Amino acid sequence: MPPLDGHIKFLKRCVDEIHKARGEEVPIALLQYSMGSVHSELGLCSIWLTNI
Amino acid sequence: MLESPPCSKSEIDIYKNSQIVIGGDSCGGNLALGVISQILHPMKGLTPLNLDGHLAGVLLISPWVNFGEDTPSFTANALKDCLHPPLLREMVETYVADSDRNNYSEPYLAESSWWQSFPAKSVLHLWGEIELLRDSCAEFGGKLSKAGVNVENIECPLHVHVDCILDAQAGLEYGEMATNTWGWLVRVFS
Repeated sequence: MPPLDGHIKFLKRCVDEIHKARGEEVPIALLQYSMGSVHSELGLCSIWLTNI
Repeated sequence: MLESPPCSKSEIDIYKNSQIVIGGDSCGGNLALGVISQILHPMKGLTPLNLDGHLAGVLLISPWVNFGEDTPSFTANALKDCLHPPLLREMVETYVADSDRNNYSEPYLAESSWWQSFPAKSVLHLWGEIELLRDSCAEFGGKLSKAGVNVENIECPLHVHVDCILDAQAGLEYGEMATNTWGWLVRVFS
C-alpha cells in the first residue's frame, strides 16, 4: 500500500484546488491515525482538523 | 468512526449535511460506504446516524468493496497492479472475520436495492483499468446506478489502485484519477 504521506499530499492538493476555485478555506476532518503526517506534511496550510 | 468523541460530533454539527463530503481511497472508501450503510440501515448496537438532509457528496477512489478473488481482473492484473494478491489476502484476514463479512463491511455483497435513497447529492466513484479491484468496482458502480444514485463511475485508463495517491507520493505528473477528483470537488463545493 502507498505510504501515508502520499495520501496527505494528495489531500492537500484537493484542498488547494477547492480553495483556488472558491476562495475559501475548506474544513477537513480526518481519522485520528493520520494526524501525525498531517502536521508534518501540511505545515502552514490553514485547514481545520479534528480527531473524528 | 461511528463512535467518535462527543466534542468531535459537536464540531461537525456546525456544518449542514449539504456542506459535507465524505470519502476515501481503498479501505477509506470501504469505510465511507460503511458510514452510508449505517445511515441507510442502522445496525443494532451502533449509534444511528440521523441526517436532516443529504450530504453534498461521497468520494470513492478505488474503494475496497470486495474481499473475494473471483473476478477476472483479480487474475489478469495481478502482475500490473501495485496491490499484490497475497498482501490483499493478508489484509482481508486482518480486517474482517468471515462471520463479519456482510453488506456493511463488504459493499460488493449488497444488492442494488441496499443503496436506494443513498444520502448524498453526488457520488464520484473512480478506479483504475489495471487494478485487481477493477471488475469489483465496475460491478459495484453499476449497482449504485441501478439504485438511482447520482453517481459518476469512471474507469481511469492505465491507472493502478489509488493511482493518484501514488503519483502524489512519487512526485509524478497526475492523471485522470486526480483531475476528475479535483473537478468533481470544485463542482460539489460551488
